Amino acid sequence: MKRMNMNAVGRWICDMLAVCKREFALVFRDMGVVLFFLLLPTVYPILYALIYNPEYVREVPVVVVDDCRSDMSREYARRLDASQYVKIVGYAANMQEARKCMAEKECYAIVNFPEDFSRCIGRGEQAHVSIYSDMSLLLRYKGILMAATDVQAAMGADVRAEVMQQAAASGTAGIGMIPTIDSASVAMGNTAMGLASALLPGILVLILQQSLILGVCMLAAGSRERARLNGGIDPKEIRTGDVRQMLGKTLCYLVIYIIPLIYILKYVPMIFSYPQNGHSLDMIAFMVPFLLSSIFMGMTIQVFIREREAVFPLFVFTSVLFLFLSGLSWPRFAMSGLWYLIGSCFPSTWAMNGYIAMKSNGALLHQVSHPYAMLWLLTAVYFLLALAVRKFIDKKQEHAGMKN
Amino acid sequence: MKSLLSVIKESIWRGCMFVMSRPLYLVSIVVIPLLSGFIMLDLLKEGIGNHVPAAIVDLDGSDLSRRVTSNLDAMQTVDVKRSFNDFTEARDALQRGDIIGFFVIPENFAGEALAGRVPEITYYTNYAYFVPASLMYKGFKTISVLSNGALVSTTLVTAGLPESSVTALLMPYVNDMHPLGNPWMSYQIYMGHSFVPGILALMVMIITVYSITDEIKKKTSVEWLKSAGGSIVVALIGKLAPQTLLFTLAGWILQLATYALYDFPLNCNIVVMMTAMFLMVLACQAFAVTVCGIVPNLRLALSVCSLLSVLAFSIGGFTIPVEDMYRWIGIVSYILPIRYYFLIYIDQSLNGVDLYYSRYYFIALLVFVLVSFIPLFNLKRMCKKPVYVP
Repeated sequence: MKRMNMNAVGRWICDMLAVCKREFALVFRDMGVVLFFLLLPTVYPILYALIYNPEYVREVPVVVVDDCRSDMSREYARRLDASQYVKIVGYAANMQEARKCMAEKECYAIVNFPEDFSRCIGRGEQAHVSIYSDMSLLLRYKGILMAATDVQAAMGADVRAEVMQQAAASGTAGIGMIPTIDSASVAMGNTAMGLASALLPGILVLILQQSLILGVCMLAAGSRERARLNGGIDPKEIRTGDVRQMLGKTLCYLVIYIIPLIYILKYVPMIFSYPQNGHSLDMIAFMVPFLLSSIFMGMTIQVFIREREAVFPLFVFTSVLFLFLSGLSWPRFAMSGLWYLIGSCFPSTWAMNGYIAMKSNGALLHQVSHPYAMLWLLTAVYFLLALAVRKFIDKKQEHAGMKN
Repeated sequence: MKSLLSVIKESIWRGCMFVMSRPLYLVSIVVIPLLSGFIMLDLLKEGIGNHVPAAIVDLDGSDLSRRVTSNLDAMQTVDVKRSFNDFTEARDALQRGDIIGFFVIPENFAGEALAGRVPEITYYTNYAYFVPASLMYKGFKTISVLSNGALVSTTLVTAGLPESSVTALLMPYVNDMHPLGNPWMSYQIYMGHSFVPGILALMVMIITVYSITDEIKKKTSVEWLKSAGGSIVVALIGKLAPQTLLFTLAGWILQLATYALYDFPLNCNIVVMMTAMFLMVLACQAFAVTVCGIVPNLRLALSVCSLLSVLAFSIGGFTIPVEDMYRWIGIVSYILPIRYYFLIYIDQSLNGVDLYYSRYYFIALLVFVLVSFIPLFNLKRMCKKPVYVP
């Protein structure tokens, strides 16, 4: 009796391995799938890195309208020009001329010194500078704002020092010692404070998920196309139990994905010097449920894909949505409950946030236990969904195919 | 011999039948762009990032440090969710993703400040999340400047200086920022006008490629060409005109939603933007036709268009200015129709400049249509002898 059981288990495993072996053959004989599984994860990270590599904006062109024409306004403009974010491309006679420059896209901001600019400082009043900024890109606005704030603080400190000196010299009471507070800002996670280092780690994870899901869908669609030509039965499929089929295929994909996984999560950040914290073992442990849930999600979605080509629209359209739902661009805490919930249904959301926590912020596995647990939960849910889809929908279609 | 008009009519009828032949097409043409546009606009509904989760580590516990804390708590951009006893606890929370940043007030803070030894408040922000980190940085910075200001002005006023000159002394120069067109600095307005039409553009390209090359794949292209009287131009008009209409309608609905429902800035005549939308749909179709003409193979043409349309969101210069990209990468943005729609939006709708300044963008969209005629001979050749390479 016991022996029988052993035999059954052994046969079960043998079946599964046979499916796995067959799947390997199917993958590597299908150029489209090889492209999705291997070339896409190789090329996309490099393309994205090259696009975002500049990290931040430099030398945003700015035009100055100087109605004051004093030493002070020129000094202010000179310091703006010296900032790495801004470049003064010219002086305009009046606002009208400057606005024309802006309409021609020769500049993206206008700095206007009013007539009484230096007089205000001399009188001991606040001097105002008007800065009109184009809002087409927030990154440009940010650059202009940073440059202006730096100059404002530095020039202000000069004025203050001068006034204090005068006050001390004239002996105004009690000004000798003024309590002050200093402040320092420390950027964590992404010490370069660049856009690439913030976006790319998440995008890398998304690329893994998308390529995996699409490869899986494409394989399934290929099998279905073969079945359609062959009276409802795919001749290349090994006929065995559903669970064995699913696990065998999953094993095959997992083995194939070892290489893209290491390349994307370890070497791409190294090549482009993105944040590289966290422990490799933690990372691998974290990625297992991510890959599993992505595979099972692919096996669930595949029911909607009738033709191999239909995966392309699916790929492009879902990539953008998953990116937004992940909270990488617009934070998750600012989303409404509905979108938070929908975002939680996809492995990419949890994997991206968990990976960023580990890779950028140096979190250990126990610190990302929430996303980790959610990934395992999604693995279970999608496994059951995929099984249900196989059992009920695919079988039905197969019968329909047989009748035809 | 049938008249040209009746051939075109027949061809358009065939195009309509194609669109209606499978629900998938209608879903891709109308439902997906509208749905994803709605998702994106609704997702960014808040628009202005408020209440970024933060924590405070108050090692001093003095009257002064509590005042700083309560000032921070009162800020709209920052939501002080937790307070920790030391740096390690706060860092742990940041690593777990519970907070985006924290503010550390050092030990003996009030004492040192009053003794004139300039203590330092340190704020830590997690720049792995770029947008909330930037917002939080602004909040933290404001608080530290204000705290300093409050302290200094109290001392100076007590010392007998008039309050008006104290303000001027604290901040002699003031930058009055005027963010043109989007004074709320709403993230929704910023992202909505590039990503929402972006998804539409993407679907236009993919569906166009699909509907042309599918004829070649299924070898129905011979019959398709014949029904158009042997003219590839008529065949394309017939196939694509119904789609142009549907896509443009979807685009107009999206525009209506952004302007009427979500109050995006509209500083030009709405007709200008509607025309731009129509031209963009046309240009995207033309772009797809050009790709089909060069590589008349379903999978290859689809791959090229998918690759480009996904990259368009990054390479189109919606987040990083094209002039800051590597030059040879920035060039790619100019072959994307969506880029010109984006530029028209900036000029007309956001900034409201004269139509004259956007003239080249409109011309560029038309150039896409003209260019698409060049590789038609190749497409026609393939349509006559369809070969499907799997």
